[in-house]
Amino acid sequence: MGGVMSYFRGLFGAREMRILILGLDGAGKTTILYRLQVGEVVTTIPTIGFNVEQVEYKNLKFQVWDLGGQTSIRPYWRCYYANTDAIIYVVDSADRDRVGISRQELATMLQEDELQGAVLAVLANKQDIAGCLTETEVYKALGLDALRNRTIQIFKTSASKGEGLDPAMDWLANQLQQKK
Amino acid sequence: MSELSNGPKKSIGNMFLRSGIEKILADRDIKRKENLQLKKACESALEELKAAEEQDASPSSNGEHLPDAGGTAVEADRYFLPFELACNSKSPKIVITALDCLQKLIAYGHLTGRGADISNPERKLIDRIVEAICAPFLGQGTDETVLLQLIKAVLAVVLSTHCEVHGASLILAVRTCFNIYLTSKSPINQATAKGTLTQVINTVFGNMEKFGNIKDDETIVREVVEVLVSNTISN
Ligand SMILES: Nc1nc2c(ncn2[C@@H]2O[C@H](COP(=O)(O)OP(=O)(O)OP(=O)(O)O)[C@@H](O)[C@H]2O)c(=O)[nH]1
Ligand SMILES: [Mg+2]
Ligand SMILES: [Mg+2]
Ligand SMILES: [Mg+2]
Ligand SMILES: [Mg+2]
Repeated sequence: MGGVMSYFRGLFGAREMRILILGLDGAGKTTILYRLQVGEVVTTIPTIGFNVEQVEYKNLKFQVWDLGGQTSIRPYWRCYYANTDAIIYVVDSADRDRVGISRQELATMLQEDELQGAVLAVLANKQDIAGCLTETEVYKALGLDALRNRTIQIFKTSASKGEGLDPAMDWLANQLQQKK
Repeated sequence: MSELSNGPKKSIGNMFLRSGIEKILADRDIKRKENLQLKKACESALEELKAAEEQDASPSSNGEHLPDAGGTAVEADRYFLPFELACNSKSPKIVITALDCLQKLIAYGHLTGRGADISNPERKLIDRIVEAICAPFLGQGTDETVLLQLIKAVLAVVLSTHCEVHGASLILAVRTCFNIYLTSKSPINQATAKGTLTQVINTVFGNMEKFGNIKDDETIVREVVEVLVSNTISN
């Protein structure tokens, strides 16, 4: 391809959308990233730096960032907020004890000026675990009904079984194309 | 989407190593004359890797498995040379592949750099690793995707509990991040470099508190801060 064409494409339109995956440690963020990128479950270790991969979904290109969720690392999330188009917020639906902490972290995050324009997809993950919170329960526990002024949608997923991620990505892709 | 296979557990370290080296070999730039040494290093590493995998797969003579068998991690330190050469290549795509692979090997604890550097026993391998990671920064105008992968790898090596980055290597890592912050034209890379720098410096201070005064690192942080301040003023 000619350099001129790619130059114009760079100027108009084909900007890669930037998506951040956030959520508490162990929620399944890294598992989701690689499910999206290679379509497989990979062995993960707790993330302490960051992972970033290009994900192609239905001819759209996303640059997907996966940050660590441990308590000591959460303060660094904000370093990554600028220029973010969408957030995938992942919740471990089986972790009833910490869903309150997850709610607080989400609320703090959503107050940031830099994220006011970002689309939010909440994933109630680990739905394959018996006795976990349902999608509706996660929705309530996170206080999502109070966020009606935002573009937001919740999905139930099982990253390890590969279930529920397509609807979430379809929705995100649609929202981001409308924003463009 | 495919399910997890139930076959013998493959070491994720071998997987990263193999796919990284194979990807470098598949790059069209590998045919360039200047990449001849890199090509040879990749080919011989790949051969060794395959041989090591086969040995792992076959039971030893008395029918028992080798001590490490089943998910054996091939010591990635042995296979560092192709990545070092790749980091110094002039092809951005090869550099990107190498940095991405180094970050994964480091994060998973497969590449530790704990041993001595065979080419210079005065130094540790970790110093060569940090040097290789930072080598692709060529000042203003460096490919922005290269810079992103570089920052990602710097953060991994400094934060990894399997790697010990001190002294001149720590200064190099911090300086490189700061210079990227100053010279990158991408707002995302600038912000990422700044975030990385913050996390690295906090971690170094945190370690000093946790493990007592590692005098060495305290001096380094002070020196780094001075460099940063003087750089900022002269800019
Ligand atoms: N049962 C079940 N386990 C899952 C699911 N998704 C992820 N896991 C497991 O949860 C554990 C943590 O997953 P990670 O993807 O590493 O979690 P993370 O959110 O990246 O964690 P940090 O990097 O520490 O922030 C791993 O053992 C995963 O295999 C799921 O949908 N169901
Ligand atoms: Mg993770
Ligand atoms: Mg990659
Ligand atoms: Mg959670
Ligand atoms: Mg370390």
